[in-house]
Amino acid sequence: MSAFLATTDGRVLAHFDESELEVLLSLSRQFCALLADVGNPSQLLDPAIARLFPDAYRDDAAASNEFRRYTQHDLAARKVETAERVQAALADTAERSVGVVLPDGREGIALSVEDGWSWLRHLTDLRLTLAARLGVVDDAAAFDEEPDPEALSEEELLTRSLFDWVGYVQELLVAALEDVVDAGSTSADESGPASTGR
Amino acid sequence: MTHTLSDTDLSRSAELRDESALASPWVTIVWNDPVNLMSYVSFVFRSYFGFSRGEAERLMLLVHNDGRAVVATGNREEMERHVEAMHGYGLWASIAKADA
Repeated sequence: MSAFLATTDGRVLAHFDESELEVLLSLSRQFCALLADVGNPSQLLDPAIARLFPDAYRDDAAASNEFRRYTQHDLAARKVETAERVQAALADTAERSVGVVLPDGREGIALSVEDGWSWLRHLTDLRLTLAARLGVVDDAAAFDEEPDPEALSEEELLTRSLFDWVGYVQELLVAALEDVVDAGSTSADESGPASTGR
Repeated sequence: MTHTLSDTDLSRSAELRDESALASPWVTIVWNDPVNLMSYVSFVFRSYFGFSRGEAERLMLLVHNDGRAVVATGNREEMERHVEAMHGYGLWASIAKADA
């Protein structure tokens, strides 16, 4: 079972079971493959790509295309770089090369706040892609109800359970990272008067 | 798409850019979507824009309840930077004229 824990030294310790590591690695690699050919205009026909690089001007297709021309390449490169950073941490943990040990004795990954943001961004990209694969882009209530096993294919049910699980992981990570940031801003306030005296 | 058409688009955009220096300001809008977690959206607003927790929460709820919220106002270049950043976070953001 995955878990995140805020530490007193401003990091988040993350734990994943081996099967969870494998699932995340696989999803993340699929995501990088999807972005390999980005910039090809026909790719925007893919709802996942269209959602990852949405129109910047809702009522102006020409301005949106121009914006994409200027930003999409770099934005895609940053998304892939972020994905690869997460993959490297997952792979290291899977090989038990740089893992840390959590207080309860389980192996984990130590994330800085910056690492944590990479993870949050990437988990978001994975969820946006999984949702698009389920045909969900802008229906605000699409995930309000439990999936209907009668209405969905086996593959859709699997995709939905991955979507829900990555969301659960992300919710835990947001909470842990907020704890770290809040603890950091409190201690910065406390040290404020001392540092202004120098 | 032909070259002629691309050139026309560019010159039109250049005109728009010149106008924007004198015209009313632009806004960055974040739209509701079924994927992004409320806690994540609020945390992004806090971290990226430097809003207090309360203000970030208020804007997140506006997005959630009203379907959209204006999160920044300023010149067009600034708003494009914000929108690009929001897309980097996976949020659904767009630019519009403030009076539109």
